[in-house]
Amino acid sequence: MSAAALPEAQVVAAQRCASCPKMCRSACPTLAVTANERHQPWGHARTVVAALGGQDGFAEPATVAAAFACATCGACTVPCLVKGVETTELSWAVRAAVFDAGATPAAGLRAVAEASAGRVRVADSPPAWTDPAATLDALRRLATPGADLLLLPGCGALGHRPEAALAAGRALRGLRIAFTVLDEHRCCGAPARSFGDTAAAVAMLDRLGAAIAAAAVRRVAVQSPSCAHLLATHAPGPAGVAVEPLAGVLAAGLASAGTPAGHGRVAYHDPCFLARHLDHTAEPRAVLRTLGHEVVELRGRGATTACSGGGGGLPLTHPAIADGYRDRLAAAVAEAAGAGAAALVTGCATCAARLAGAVPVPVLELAEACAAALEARR
Amino acid sequence: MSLLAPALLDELRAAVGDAGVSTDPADRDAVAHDLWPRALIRERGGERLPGPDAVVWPSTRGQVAAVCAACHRAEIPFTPFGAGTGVCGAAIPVRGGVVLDLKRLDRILDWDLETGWVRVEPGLLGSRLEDACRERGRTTGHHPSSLALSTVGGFVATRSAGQLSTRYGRIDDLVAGLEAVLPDGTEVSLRPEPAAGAGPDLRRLFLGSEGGFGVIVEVTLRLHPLPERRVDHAAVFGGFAEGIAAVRELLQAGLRPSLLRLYDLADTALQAAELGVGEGSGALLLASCEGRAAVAEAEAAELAAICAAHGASARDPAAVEAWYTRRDDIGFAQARYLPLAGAVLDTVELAAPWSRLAALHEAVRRRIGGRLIVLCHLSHGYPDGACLYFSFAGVAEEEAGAVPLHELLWEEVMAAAAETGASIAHHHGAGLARAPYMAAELGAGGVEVLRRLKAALDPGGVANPGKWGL
Repeated sequence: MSAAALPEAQVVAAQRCASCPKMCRSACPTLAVTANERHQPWGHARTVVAALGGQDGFAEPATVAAAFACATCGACTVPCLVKGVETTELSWAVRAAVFDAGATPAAGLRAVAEASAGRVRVADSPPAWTDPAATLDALRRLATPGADLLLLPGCGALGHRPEAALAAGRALRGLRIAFTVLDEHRCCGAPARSFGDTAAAVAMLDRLGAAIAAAAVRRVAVQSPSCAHLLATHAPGPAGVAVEPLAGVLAAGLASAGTPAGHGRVAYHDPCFLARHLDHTAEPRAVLRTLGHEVVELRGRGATTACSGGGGGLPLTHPAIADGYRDRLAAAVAEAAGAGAAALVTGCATCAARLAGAVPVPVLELAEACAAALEARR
Repeated sequence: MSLLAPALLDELRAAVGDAGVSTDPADRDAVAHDLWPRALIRERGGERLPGPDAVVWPSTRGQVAAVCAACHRAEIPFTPFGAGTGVCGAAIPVRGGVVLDLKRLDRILDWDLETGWVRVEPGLLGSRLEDACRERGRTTGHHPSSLALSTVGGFVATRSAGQLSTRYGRIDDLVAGLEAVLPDGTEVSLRPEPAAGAGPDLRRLFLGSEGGFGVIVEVTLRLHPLPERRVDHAAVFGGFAEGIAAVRELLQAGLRPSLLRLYDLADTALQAAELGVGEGSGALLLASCEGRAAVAEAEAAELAAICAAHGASARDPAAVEAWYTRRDDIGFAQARYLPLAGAVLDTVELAAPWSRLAALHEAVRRRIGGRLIVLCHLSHGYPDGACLYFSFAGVAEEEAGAVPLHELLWEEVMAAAAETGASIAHHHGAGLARAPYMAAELGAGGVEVLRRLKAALDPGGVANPGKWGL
């Protein structure tokens, strides 16, 4: 397919982004990691403009490399006030154009195929996938058939940190919140969107929507932030089914359950999709404070949170850049540890998996912290 | 494809490591130009500037020295590059060679809070430095609108001035010391001093040097305590001349407001709507006095009295706060309008003594008005004069006419400066934009001094060649 595959609104966005005096450069982690002028939204947009008029279109290697050198963390969206430019949307549109041009990296194609088959990624380098049925079975043993709340752990939790998915079930059970789980894992399609396969993304989202409808629930609690964002913005289930991040459900449950014994100071890391894309920052902190923790804030929080590098397929296409993201975040965690944080809690299982062992304190996903505190109370 | 000899590339890789050298066309293309509007217009028209033959990322001063020495021996040009956000073409590698990207030299090395100094590397972004200063209750006071997208090295190499320079000074005033690598790799340390009087001030040799005398690898900047209080004042004068008279009087009386911006009638009409200060007639003044609370309040009272004596009517000072909230946003407008075919946008900052300031304003408007929109504000005030900052916008009838229109704009503005005896630059540097006018600015004797200095420090002519009109 030709360069015309890019929607007109995104063509205008790319032209504006490429004409901007790099107003978001201080926010871009890819630029911070690479120190390479081409690797920031301005530079990436220039490759898009070049592709629009170039012989190879979106199959141009420089355009392809730029398209995937980004975790779609959205840090650039915070300082950007250019009318008509939404950089994350532009990034996804460009990736779709690259896919249409047949130039998506092989690692991305495999990731889409695995996700379509209901498998989840358990390792990034070398990449490996597995069937999460065993984790779902274990979770089902904590569930209540017929409950009106569906717990959707998402690929991130089921793959990178299954203990976080199980902790979500333990926490809900500890709060006496009845939940159910799907009969089998259904990916929301976020990996397909990340690699530009729009048709696969739509198909996966539709299948998940059908599964939610079949579950006959009224609410869906989503644990993985990117899934929560995609489901919140695309609402695949039947009308009237409320989708919310798991953190909000835990916060509400804790508020009505009373305060369990709490312990010590913890640092909290805002995941990009939860904090920046969904503005979901108060609920995780409410969970931790209700558990009795004092929250140590990281340098970079809320809308300006640092990305662990796990999103947008970055660990598959540019693992060194992804590790650079993680190392920058790890430095902020080390600083918080120096300020007395005894552990790091993050609202994202993928982030937890990426940070474990890279920081000087134990790392917990939010549901793990919640489950542990609730169980310690008993 | 890189035209550099394999032996030089090997030497560069030995100096900075394999990952620190790239000949990838995409990497080279990204540093082919800075944000000089002429280059952006040419690129919009389909032209790709050739760029360097290689990009090198040193992360220590020793690596910078090794790269410079290698280029010197091979007689290959090198061009230092920070964030690439200069607006005069100073970072454009017009003769190819090596772009020396300094972004990995971005550390804060040392604080001396008792003295009020911070020692930093040149690739540090201005906003990162300012954030760190504020955590310590300090500020450099240096806040160009590009603070978040430009580097300390860039500030020094182009002699920049921040929005609050009337109080805190230009970068020239903030540099206490610096270290540099000469074009042949020789390292030079010009230690920080509060003041020194032994011979010429060699630090100043590197201020505004734009890489032509070597590479700045470390800078010690002066710090100020964060102000205890800021008092804002907004007022409207009957005309630009009345406003200029008031600003001159208050500066010559010794007042040093941090913010001091006086908009001409055309700019006031635009700003008034943006800032919510009435119908937009007259000349709008925005000012802030800051520092110790009692001093700031007294200074603001004096400033208001002087303005009133010149017929100004006070406006809601909330307009000043509104200005602060969008002080750095001008780039967003560029992003929106520059892609339009034929569009020409640029800013030119000139400086003149009070006795010639009004004439300069009139000359620029006379020469450019009717061809492009001309807006102007006075800022960066001194006891003996001020900067006039002009913004221009227009559209050529067709894309092919954009570069000629931009060339005409610069010819006319520089002619207006020559006509009125104004300086051709206040704080954007010289680069390529002002290269044709350097002889008029410096005079024959000045050019000869510059030529001899360049020949002495850079006998091979490898350090950012093609600039200053040499």
